Amino acid sequence: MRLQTKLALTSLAVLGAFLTLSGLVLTQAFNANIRASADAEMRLLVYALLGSAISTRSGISFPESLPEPRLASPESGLYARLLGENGEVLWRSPSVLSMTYEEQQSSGSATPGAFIFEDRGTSFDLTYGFIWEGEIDRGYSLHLRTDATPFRLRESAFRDTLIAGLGLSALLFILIQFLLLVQGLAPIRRMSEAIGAIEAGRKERLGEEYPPELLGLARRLDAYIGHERELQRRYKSAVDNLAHGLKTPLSVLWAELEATGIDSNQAAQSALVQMRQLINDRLRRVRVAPVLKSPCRVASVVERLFSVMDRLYPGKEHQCLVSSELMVQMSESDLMELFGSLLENAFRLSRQQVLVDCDEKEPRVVTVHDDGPGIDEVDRQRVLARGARADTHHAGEGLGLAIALDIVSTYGGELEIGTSRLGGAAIRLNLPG
Amino acid sequence: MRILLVEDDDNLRQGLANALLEEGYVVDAMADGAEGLWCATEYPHVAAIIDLGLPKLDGLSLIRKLRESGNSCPVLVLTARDRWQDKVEGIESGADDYVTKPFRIEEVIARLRAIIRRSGGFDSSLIRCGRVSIDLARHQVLRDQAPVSMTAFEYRIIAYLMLNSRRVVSKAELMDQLYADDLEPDSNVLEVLMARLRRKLDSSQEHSCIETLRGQGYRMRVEQ
Repeated sequence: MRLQTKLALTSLAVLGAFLTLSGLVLTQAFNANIRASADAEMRLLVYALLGSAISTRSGISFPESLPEPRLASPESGLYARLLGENGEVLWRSPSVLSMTYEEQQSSGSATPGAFIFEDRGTSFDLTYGFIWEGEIDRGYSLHLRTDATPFRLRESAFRDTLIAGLGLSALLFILIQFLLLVQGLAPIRRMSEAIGAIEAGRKERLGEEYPPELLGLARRLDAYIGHERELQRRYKSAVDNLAHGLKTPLSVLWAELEATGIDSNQAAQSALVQMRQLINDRLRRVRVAPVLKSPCRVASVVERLFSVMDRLYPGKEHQCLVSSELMVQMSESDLMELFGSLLENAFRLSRQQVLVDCDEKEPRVVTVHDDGPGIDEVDRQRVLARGARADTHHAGEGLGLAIALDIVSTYGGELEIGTSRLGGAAIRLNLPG
Repeated sequence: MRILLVEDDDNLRQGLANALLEEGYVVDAMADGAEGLWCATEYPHVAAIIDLGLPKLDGLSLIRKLRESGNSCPVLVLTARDRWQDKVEGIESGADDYVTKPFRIEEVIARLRAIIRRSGGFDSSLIRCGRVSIDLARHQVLRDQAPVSMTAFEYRIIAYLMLNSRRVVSKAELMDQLYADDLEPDSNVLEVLMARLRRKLDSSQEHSCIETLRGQGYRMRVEQ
């Protein structure tokens, strides 16, 4: 899973949990506040009712004109009852009409001086126990019930507002989180692109344009890449120098051998040929290095080689029909080695004409044609083997095709031998993009 | 014909120089690039064989300097670097061909003959001027397709004149091409040799195949 996706999902989960918990806590707090407010309101009403109570011989009575008009209005949503010590109903407010209220009544008398508040869902009940001092001190319970609908509506409105508010906050948070993620991960993305560019050969190093958290890593990577390059260069240079250093004494040996009559010492001649092939083979293997490749223009390499072939094989016609836009992911040196080997064969063997073209549908499929004798089907596999030579009539090591195959294979490309429309060989290359 | 050979390895230089002398060339053998440059500016050469890895002045720089100074003698590069990149750079800097080390001396000589021939504008090793022709590969001079016996010195003269048959070759130039600088040639020797050559190549009814342009030099007669 991508780091950005993982971070986004984690932060979304945290955000979801945080908002849910916040919503629950805030709703609970608001509901508690609503209940407390109902409780306080009803207590005030209890005190107002008791204040309006009249002492009678039998105990206590309430005037017709009650302190809260809703108690006098039937089904107003505010009801009051006075209960005796044994729970018998001594008085009902005129607002009580139906029996439902009686049936639902469950709370009994309260301890004198104590308030009992109950949330019954659709209503809030408050029972207050007290002792009325008259001729005879008697215990009473004043029971108030208020319809909870207005409170529930307030709770519902609060919940809606809360959900809307938290939803909006969540959206804002997600947006900010997204921007932070994009901005925060941008240097990592930039670094990844820079590494890709280094691999493709478009860039030499990562550079210094990173935040302090990544700068150390970028510098270490640059140092590592530089070190690797230097090592690669040193190894190549050491092998190159060693091999080239051996070549001059080999030439001297050859000259000596020729001076003393080469035919008289076949063993020495064979050993020299073997040494030369071994040196060339090892050198080639060290040199082909597709690790740090760079895009290279095929047409310009072919044209440069054509101008060299003009000097070496004057009078031969040649044409390059490869698009000047065609780029392949190979080092210029390896691309030149590849086409140099193939074109030298083509010019050497051609009668008059050499052509390099590319497939119309697959531009990276490039073919080198010549009008020479061509390569028989039976010889095609054999000439690709190192050192094999199908053209026994011409001088040369016969390594051209094997070298080309080596280079193309190292880069993951393909080489096929066919017959050209010019009548000679057609070497078809599928070059790496 | 005078050849400039610049190679820093003593054994190889000596081996090549001996082989070239045996082939009838006059050889200026130099051990470094600076000496090579000096020699190239002092003497006219029909071709140069230059190793790329030279002390003081590397081979590529030497070739560039030669070309910048207007020296157009064909150059055969000897190189241990056998990458096409190196070959292309060599040819682009002004070389005409290359031989990669380790090489057989006969290959160097064959390539040398080819670049000398090409520099004269000839595609084939068989060069024809009127009734006289020369086979550079076989070291053979023919008149009306019949071989003519020649000494090595006579062959060198006729080969040089035929390779430069499109222009007049001065006496001094011919002397430079025929004698090493440590030899003091007698100018009459050349005239004697020319007379001998004419006797071998000309028939009495015709103009001589070698024209003498008074005060200028010699030229092969193309039409006879």
